[in-house]
Amino acid sequence: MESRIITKNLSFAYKTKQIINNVNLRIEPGQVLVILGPNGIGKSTLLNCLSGVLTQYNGQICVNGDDLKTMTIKDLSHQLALVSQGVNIKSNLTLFDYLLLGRTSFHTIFEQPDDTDKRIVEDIIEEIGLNDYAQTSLQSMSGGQRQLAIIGRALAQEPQVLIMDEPTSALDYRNQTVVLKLIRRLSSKGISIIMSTHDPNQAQIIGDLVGLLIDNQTYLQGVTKQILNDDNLSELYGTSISSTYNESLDRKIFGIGMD
Amino acid sequence: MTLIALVIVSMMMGRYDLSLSEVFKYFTGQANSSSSLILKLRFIRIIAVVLVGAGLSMAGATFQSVFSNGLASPNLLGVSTGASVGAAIAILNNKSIYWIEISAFIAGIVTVFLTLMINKLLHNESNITLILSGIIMSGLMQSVLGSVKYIADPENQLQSIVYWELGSFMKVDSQSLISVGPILIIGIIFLLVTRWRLNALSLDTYTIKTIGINPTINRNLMILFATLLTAASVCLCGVVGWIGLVVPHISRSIVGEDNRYALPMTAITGAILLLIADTLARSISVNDIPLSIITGFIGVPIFIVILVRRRNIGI
Repeated sequence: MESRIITKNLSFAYKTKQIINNVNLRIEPGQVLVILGPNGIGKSTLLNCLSGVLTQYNGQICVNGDDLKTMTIKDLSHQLALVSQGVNIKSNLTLFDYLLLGRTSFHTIFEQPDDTDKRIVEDIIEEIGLNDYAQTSLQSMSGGQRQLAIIGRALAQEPQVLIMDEPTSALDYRNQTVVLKLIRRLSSKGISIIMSTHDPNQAQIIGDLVGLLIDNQTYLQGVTKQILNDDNLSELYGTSISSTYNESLDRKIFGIGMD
Repeated sequence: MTLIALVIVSMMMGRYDLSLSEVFKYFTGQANSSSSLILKLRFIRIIAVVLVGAGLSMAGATFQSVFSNGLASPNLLGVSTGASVGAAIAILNNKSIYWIEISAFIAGIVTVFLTLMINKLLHNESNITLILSGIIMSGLMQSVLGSVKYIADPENQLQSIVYWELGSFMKVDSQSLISVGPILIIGIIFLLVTRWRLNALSLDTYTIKTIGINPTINRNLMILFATLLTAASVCLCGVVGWIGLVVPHISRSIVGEDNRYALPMTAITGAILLLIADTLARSISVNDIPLSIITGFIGVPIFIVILVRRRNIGI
């Protein structure tokens, strides 16, 4: 089976500034890859390259074996969807109408959404647990619900890969749990997920793989158990980080040291 | 239904009031020659008003969606003034109505893209900056229009240019309707059939791209047709204020944000409002009152109410 996404020596420079360099990344069907790195290191840039938004990169990105640069915007959107950070969403549409937008590229400019589209959107609303809000305007929803709405819109594209830029950064603990559980359910259905986060504990919870953007030159990827340790994280963030094993959660918990 | 009833009432009203039965007789071809002549003129004018009302409102709704900016309208973006400059230059060169149309359209397009360029230079994505750019372009186009008026022949050219600035359907006749009407109809139909896509275009550029459509091509296509509608309206009746800004908001407050419903509603509401305004314009006094005066009196209070009601969700 083809890997969902492989990058070969992916680099991106903005004007003369090298943002990411020689990223070799690989993700298989149903895997969750969590990208960690300090602020401004280029996590969003990397995700925007992978999702086809930024195309002036060097190196190669393959999606299901095809070179991304040879694919049309439409074909790419049927394989891969981007979940951007939800804080700034401006739309006043209802949840249902907003999710329908994910179906846009399945139609020509002259067509309207059909019953299939509506059924798909209804199923997704059920999946993201917002049944009671289908006809609610996005502007009157909470931050957590809006983030779920954005994920829902991406799912309406029926993608095999979801790329998520800090999907939990603006959310409280309960909403973080809701989103992480959803990610786990989606990956069990075979959808590959690449997400960035500031919280190594999330990588511990849902990541099959972890990718570290250490500086603008190095990308290190491996299975979570091997990569996610105190030394790597301390080096990554440039501050002391240590972990303890929590028995009731049955996993390591990472915390920052203040010395 | 409301629109049809209004058309009939509007046919009855005017300097010479006519009865309902005379209007029905006209449509069944039994009216006497004098009232038939009046009704024919009124009918031509009413068709023009309905098309322009629908067209300008839809142009406004389209600009508002494409720029995801509730303050966008043909007037505030400078498109109307730009189009009237184009029309005025064609009049100055004694061109036919077709050339006036083409010239208005080209000048409208140039203005909207210059507005967008200024907006880009300002490196600020706030809603107000785009409108500021529109006001800057509008100001420039006003100066150009002033210069054109300065060199225009005061005997006949100046009069037609001034007519364009004030907004009136007084001079609409069957010839101008036949040459401009089809363009309005094409523009209206295009925007109506593509209205679902307008929803997607109000998203941010990155998201539009990742849902699988080309943001630049789609946006420019919509801007092109909205400008076409504006330019065609300007050719028929000059610059009419407020309709393109206010009507989309009225419609959305009735049927919601989804353009699948909001855009047809906008077309009908725009037609109704402009028909009311024009019927008043030709019935209140002996002379036709310029239309922008009436749309201003109707539009401003409505716009204030909308601004107050919608301040929570952002314009």
